[in-house]
Amino acid sequence: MEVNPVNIFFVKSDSKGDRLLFRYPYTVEAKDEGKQKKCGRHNPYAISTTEDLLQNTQTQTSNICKGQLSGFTDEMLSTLFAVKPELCNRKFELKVNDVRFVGHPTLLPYRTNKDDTAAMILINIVFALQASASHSIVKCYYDLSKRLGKALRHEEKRCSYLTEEMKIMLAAHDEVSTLDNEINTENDDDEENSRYSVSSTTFSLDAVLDTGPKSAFHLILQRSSLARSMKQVFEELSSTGIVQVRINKWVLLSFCLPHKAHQIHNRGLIVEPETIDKCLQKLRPYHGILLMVNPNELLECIPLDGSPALLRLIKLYSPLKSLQTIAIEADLTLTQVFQLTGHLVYWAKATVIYPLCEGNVYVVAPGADTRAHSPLPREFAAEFPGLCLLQILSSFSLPAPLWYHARGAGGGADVTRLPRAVAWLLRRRLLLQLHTYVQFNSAHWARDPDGKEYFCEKHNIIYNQSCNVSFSSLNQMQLNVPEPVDQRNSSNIFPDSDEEYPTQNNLNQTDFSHTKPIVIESEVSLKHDKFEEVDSANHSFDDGLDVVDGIMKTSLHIEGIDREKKLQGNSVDSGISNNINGNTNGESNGVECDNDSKEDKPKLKTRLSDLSLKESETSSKDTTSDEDRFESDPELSPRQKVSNGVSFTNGHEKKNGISLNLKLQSEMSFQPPTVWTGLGSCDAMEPRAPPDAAGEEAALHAFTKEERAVLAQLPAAQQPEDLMLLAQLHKKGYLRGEHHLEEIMFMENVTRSQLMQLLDKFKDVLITFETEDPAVAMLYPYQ
Amino acid sequence: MDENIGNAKYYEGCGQEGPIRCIFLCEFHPTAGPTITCQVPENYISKDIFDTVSHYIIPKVQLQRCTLTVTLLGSKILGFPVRLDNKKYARNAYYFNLCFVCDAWARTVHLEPLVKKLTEYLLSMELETEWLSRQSRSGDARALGGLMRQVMRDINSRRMCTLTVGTTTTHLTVVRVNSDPAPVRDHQVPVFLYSRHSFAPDQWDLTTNQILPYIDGFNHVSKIAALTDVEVSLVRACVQNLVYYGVVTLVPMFQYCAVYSATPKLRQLTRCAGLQRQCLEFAARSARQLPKVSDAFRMYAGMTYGTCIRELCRRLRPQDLAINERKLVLFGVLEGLIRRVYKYPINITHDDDDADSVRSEHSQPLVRTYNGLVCLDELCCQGGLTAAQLEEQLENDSNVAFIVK
Repeated sequence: MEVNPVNIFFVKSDSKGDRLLFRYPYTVEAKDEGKQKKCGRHNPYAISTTEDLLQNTQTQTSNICKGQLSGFTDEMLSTLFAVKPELCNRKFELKVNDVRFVGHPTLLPYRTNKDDTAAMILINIVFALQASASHSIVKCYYDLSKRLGKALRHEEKRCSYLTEEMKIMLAAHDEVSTLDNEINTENDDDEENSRYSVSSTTFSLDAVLDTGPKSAFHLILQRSSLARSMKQVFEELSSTGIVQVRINKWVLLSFCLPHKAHQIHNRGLIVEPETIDKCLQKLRPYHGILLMVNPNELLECIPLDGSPALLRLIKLYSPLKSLQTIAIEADLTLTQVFQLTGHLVYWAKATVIYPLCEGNVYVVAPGADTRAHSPLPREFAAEFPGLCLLQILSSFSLPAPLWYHARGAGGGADVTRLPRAVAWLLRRRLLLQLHTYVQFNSAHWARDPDGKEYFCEKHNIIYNQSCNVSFSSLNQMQLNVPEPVDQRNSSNIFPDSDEEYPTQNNLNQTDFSHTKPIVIESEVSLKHDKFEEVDSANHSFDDGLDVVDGIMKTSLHIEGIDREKKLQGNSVDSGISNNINGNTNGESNGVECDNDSKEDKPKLKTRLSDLSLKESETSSKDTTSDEDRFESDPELSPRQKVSNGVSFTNGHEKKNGISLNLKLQSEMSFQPPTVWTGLGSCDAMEPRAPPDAAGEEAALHAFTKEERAVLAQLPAAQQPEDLMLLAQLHKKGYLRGEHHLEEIMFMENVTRSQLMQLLDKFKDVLITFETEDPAVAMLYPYQ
Repeated sequence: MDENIGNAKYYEGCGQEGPIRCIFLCEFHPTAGPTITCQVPENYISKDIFDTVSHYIIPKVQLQRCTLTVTLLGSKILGFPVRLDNKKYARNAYYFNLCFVCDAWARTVHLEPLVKKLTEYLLSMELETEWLSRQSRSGDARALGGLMRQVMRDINSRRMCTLTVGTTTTHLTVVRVNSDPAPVRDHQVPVFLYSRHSFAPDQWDLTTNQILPYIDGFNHVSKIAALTDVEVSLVRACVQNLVYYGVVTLVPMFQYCAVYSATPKLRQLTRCAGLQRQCLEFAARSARQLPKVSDAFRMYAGMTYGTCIRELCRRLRPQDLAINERKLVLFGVLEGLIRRVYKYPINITHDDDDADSVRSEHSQPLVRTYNGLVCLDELCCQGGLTAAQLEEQLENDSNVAFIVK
């Protein structure tokens, strides 16, 4: 695997010269290999040809032998890695044949024993990788080297940790070399031996275990905690890609190599950080998250000083909720939730999905592993006894909404197990969701009303098969070639890429990955609030199903309590009260939905639409819950306003969940803000207010003259309501194939049935197509 | 050296190739240590920078004759250090290294063989006539400078170069380093990525020339083999070779029972005028009457799971819309607007007889267990059955399920 490190080195260079202090793994070359080489060279029967002049030494093309580094002596490596001071504190990258060395040489003040004048010492922690490793992998290793360097600098400053550890390592080296010298004086016959014995590469593992002369690195590993930390780093990188190591039992270094970490759950899936960045940019409030691990386990592995926001988010997590819902329930801003999502995805703890709901259409993902003999069917059978993975997948061969599968068509999975099975399949990237996109069939193709620049893919391919048309002329055209995505300039998205490793103990809280060293026992109970239900996904999904089947849970009294609690929670400072919020909101979710469906009884069909829509609909229609919102949202927004830089104070004061989100949404998307302007009050949230003639006229300006002529011929255009809705959707750019139905429902507060009717009525001018959501599909292996 | 910093298009890891910025020859001077003997253009690598990196350019003994690439201070230095042992040199050895300098963002793997070959050329000249050491001793490195200038100019512009010094000649060319393409399957269809007119047949072997006329974007590999009377494994090898050099690419076989699905890229057809024009001109039934974009888009939009081309054609009647549906599909696949949805028969009984299945694969292709790796197209090709026949046969087998992906 090119993702795995080949070796880790620790080199110092100071006034006394450079030295390779530690490397892992250190049993590289067997001694006999060197002997063989020697024998080969002095073969008495070999004819020395004149060609040897030109090729006097065999050109070495590979330095990796059976997954281990070969052909380098320790002295050579230490001179290579001890860079000149001009090259310090910047990226060091050296490629020799098929090995790439990457590191961050760190220059740090170093207290010598005699006086307090700080001499400078250079340390370099270098990773050897296979040269074929992609650049983003190299970058991650560089980052790790840099952070290790910073941690060591901090510890050196705090308690001279590095000095002590280096002393141990040097002592061990000296001890072994004196031991070797003694042996050598005893049997002085082999000169070569002394050269090899210092570089412990000559000792095979057996030699270390059995015979007298021990490898210096073996001794160091026993004596030095720093060496053990480095070993741990190496081993964790090779096994999981997630490093959690505490340097000197003080500085916690958390690092994740996403390329590797995502393979824990999905073999062969390589997710690059750049992909996650791109995915994050495409994230919308209606997306949801799906945790790859059990929430309780996740909570336990979060360091004690992990962000409370993250803890709250995980406690409220459900694959049924949209990010917006989670944001509101967890009392976080949407931006924060997005960042936390990115964080979880980076660490391979979650993936981005569209929240599970009954209307979702899934198909088997193109890159899904469907081999009959892969381990997946067995894992699936262990998780869901009695179900056959292949049968389930086979039932997803035709696109059908989930409720269709739930009604017995789905390969034997019953109502209770289907949602869990779907979640399992989504985690393994076996299923892919299809969305319906709508394109308005306008007369002017290729011309964007906004005049925005759309990038083409490269069209420099010339087709010349049986047709005689030459396409070479097309190549002369000015084509917009997409530029490579910029480097990660927003370093604050992932704490891993933070420039500065905290050198003091008062760490900034956005940095989840670092910890304070002091363990406060009393906090433990507070922090490890258990996740409410074992499988909340299953639970609340069931609620949804129950409603569809006509069985409703009446739990109004709980709702009352809930609301009371909510108010209470909000009166407390939100920063402190996360605990209370966490508990109450966790159980309130399902309840609220039930409440909604009761009031919207005539529209039972809407249960099929997603829950997030439900959420927004409630706030606009249901006055009582509206009030509830009013109570809660102003409480939560001031912080957000500041942190987001969104000023809500100018102009219309909308203290409504939706308007807030619309604003956030409009900030993120490239479209003009879609806030309903001109109508200041909450009534404006009703999009289907009976339009007056003037308004209709204005709305129709969204269409061109030709389009209006076409529209006028349609019988459906006689219905002013339908026409208005179409005009509004068109005006806002929803009919350009960029937004799927669920997004339109979410953003425009319409129901699925309304949209479907609209699509049907205007089917002559609207073209629909089904495809995956690029933001979600990005994290699939076939992309 | 920092001229490209701040340019968003070029960053480290962008995977693009860049020009050679500088070529220099570095030697180990008996008294002064590592020095640059000759450099084109002059002073691209300053003395200070050179001093900081010199011990990667003239390294210790063990690293001689290794391809060394060091990325430091915004540039990438690529070299192949060489030591020549001979009594005639001061210190009994002559060290030199010919280095290429590129920008830090550029890929340089493809230049490595070039550096090596050029170094070996210089080495042989040094052995024969002391070409290098004489120039450095005299301090007049005009011949070397001219040579390096020629290499830099020719490689940057034409990607190949022919050097002649005295009576010796060497040819340098940049070879793309690609990973091996996946093995070609019988049911895949090769299609040209370049105009056939720009394709020089005399560059290719006889078998490739024999199959070339049959590569039209619709014939699949085993059909080409049958039409040309060439062994199918040879056709596979030829096609794989062509894929490696980027001459052809492989697309799924066109069938009216095939199912395609739109990809998110499809929406580009609504925006990009260039793509639209290409699509229409390619998919038109006749060059005189171009179809409408909306019709082509409607065709693509109709391609979903569960809808085969036959049904789509019945519904939308592409012949009335002046669309050649075969070419439309081909264009969509090539541009990534649509992708083929394959059907994989898979055996769902749980008798784990791996060994059996392997054996049967070799003896009787059709009695194999359906392991989920082979799609229906391939099975049809191997068994010489039509898709309908095979599907019918499998439908009756209750042990076999279909997975569509």
